[in-house]
Amino acid sequence: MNAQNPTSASLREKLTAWAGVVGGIALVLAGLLYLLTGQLSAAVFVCVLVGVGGLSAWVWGNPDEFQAWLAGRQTRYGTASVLVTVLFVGLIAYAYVLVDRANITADLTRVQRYTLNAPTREAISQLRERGFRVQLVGFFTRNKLREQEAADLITRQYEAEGRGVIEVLYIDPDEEPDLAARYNYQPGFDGTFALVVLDEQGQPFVREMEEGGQPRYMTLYLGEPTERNITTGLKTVASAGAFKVYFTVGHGERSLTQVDDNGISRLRASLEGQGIAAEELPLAEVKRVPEDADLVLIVGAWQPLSEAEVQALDEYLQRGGRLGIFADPPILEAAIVGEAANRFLAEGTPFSDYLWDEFGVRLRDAFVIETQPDLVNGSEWMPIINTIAPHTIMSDVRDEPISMRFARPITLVDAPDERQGRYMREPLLFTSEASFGEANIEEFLTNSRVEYNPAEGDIPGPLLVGVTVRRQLEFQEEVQPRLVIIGDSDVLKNEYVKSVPGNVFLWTDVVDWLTGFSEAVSFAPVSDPTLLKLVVSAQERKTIAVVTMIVLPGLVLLSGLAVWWYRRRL
Amino acid sequence: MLKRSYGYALLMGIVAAMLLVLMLDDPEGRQRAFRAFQETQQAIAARLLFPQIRQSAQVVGMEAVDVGAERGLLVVRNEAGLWYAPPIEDVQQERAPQSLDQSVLESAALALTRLWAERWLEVSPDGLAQYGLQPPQYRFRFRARLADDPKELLEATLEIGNLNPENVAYYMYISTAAEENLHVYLIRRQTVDMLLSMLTASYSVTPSDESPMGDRVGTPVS
Repeated sequence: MNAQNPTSASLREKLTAWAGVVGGIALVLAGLLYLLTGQLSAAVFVCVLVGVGGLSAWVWGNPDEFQAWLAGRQTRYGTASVLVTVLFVGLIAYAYVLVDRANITADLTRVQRYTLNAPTREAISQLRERGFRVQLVGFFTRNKLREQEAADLITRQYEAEGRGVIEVLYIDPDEEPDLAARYNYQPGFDGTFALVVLDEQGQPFVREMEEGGQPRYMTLYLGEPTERNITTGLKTVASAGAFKVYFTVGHGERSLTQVDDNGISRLRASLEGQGIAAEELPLAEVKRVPEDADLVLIVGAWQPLSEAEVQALDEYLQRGGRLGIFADPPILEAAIVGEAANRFLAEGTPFSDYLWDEFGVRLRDAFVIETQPDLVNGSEWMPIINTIAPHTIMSDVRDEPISMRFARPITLVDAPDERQGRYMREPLLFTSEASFGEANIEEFLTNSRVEYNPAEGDIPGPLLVGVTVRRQLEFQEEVQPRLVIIGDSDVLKNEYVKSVPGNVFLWTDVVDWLTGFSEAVSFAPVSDPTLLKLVVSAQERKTIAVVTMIVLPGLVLLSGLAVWWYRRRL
Repeated sequence: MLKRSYGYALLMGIVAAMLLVLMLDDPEGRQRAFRAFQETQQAIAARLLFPQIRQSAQVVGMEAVDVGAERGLLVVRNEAGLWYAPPIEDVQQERAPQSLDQSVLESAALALTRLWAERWLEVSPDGLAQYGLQPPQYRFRFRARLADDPKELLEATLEIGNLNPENVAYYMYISTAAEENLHVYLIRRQTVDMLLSMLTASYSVTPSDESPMGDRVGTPVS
């Protein structure tokens, strides 16, 4: 019974030996699949079954070979090798787990991409010195979990560097809509950050209370969570109060405290929102522009400036001062109803003469009439500003219409003398070609009639209604006075600033150009587009896992099998 | 040279120490975090709210109410499968199928087959106000025959709240038996707008707490 056909026994031994090999491979495959998918799937189960079956077949069909394999020299040394390998891998994994739990990180990128730049550390240091505490608020819905993970790489660095000065808060707007609203969340903010300054109790400063008693916090929107955006926000906060803008009063100017459509209270709010202080300047009383003035604005004055006031402004400009003038034409609604007409910058007044003699700029005693068929709000008093000259001041305004009402044309000197020639005049805003400047104001006041009549001094369009002035080769000068002159003050009134984006851009760009605020608070971090990104997509992760856990070990296994098969044939 | 047995003993000691330290390092916390992650993943998964309703024809009655404006419309299907507004004393006048925009009403019924929750949140009854659900902005009730057993009727009331902050989805919960924690769903705006378009199918009623639908859905349907 025991006698077997030698050929049959040999075949069985061969088959079961191969079954053992297949079984071993199946078990390895089962382990890899389990590591890869993280679950006991049907495929893992089948592999385990095949593995156990194959090995069992080997033990049953070829027990002598199995025993020899267990006790053999190769197995002994092989087992020791396997043990040492497993221990080595285990030690590496163990060290990784410890480092991960201790949140120890090392930036090994060539340009220290994941290390905060020196200006950032400086800004954080300034915040600490000035006693500020801030909160970085990230808005992330569940759809943006991966972006939140990427943002956290950056914000954790800020939090660690801040050592209590900077907190990070993540809000899921879908889950906490009320909380998101408190931080002024708007559609499109998903995946972005805002900055909030905290009071001594660690609570955000409240901007206003809503009707339902819900607070609205003072927030500074940062945008995408990049080091550039976050640090610019921090520098804005750190520089709070370092910039000061004065608004002249005493000449019928528009009021900073007037909150209705004709006031300019929104300008103050926008300045203070950026940490820029805004104060009134009674020029006739103080005689001299304060030393801390980064900018003086004259918005909608009616009465002319006195000689002394002009001298004060001249002295301010000659020490590198910045001046913004928003002047209406001599004709205003008030004049139509019989009140005193606007005499600010009327030809022949001291300030008008000064602007001409020093800078070669004159505001004309005229107002713009629009004759294009597509009138703004159907009013011929509202010129269509369809030509915005290329200018560094206009960062975002070119595609946005600007609303003006009763605009005043500006004339520039054609052949500047030596004094005027020290300055460069750059046109900023033009009206349409179809517009004209009505110079016969008397007739308009008497008959309410407007008609283009060149013989009576009317000016053909397009008309210049905005200009900037600065020194020639400014960068070579020690003092760098700058002026912006706009022939309208309605452009800054609350009615337009709250509803016309072009006017908002014009306002912010003008202030920015005059004060250099953005330049002071922005910074460019080191960046290298050739760097490998450290945040990869789910698909990329899967590909990396397949290559490192299946393809590469598989190749090693296959080459081993090939060598074994080749040597066996010899 | 160290003896091999000592070497093995040393290695085993290191392994034991590693395991000990790892076990002392709050493995339960890890487990909790893992469970929280799983729950998050579950929360992300979209789900169909009424899989039993596969075709708009299964819907036999609908009522939409604008809670704030106190107006609404109740419609049921007639034998021909057309929508009509039954008379309700002091609330609604009868409207024949020809006087109602059938396509709008059919769209609303179709929307019920497509009510996918983009996401759901577990909310206590006190927390409904922040989603505009205390009281709701709109209320939508319906009755539908089950796909697998047409003799059985499914009735549900959908409480619809605010748009989410991105203005792309509405908060909604299904008013059923009292629960300690409610599930508030985020439903795509377009789908909810299809439901609410029923309000523009031109009929005004004064909503009442007791829905008259129960008396009306018995209207024979084909």
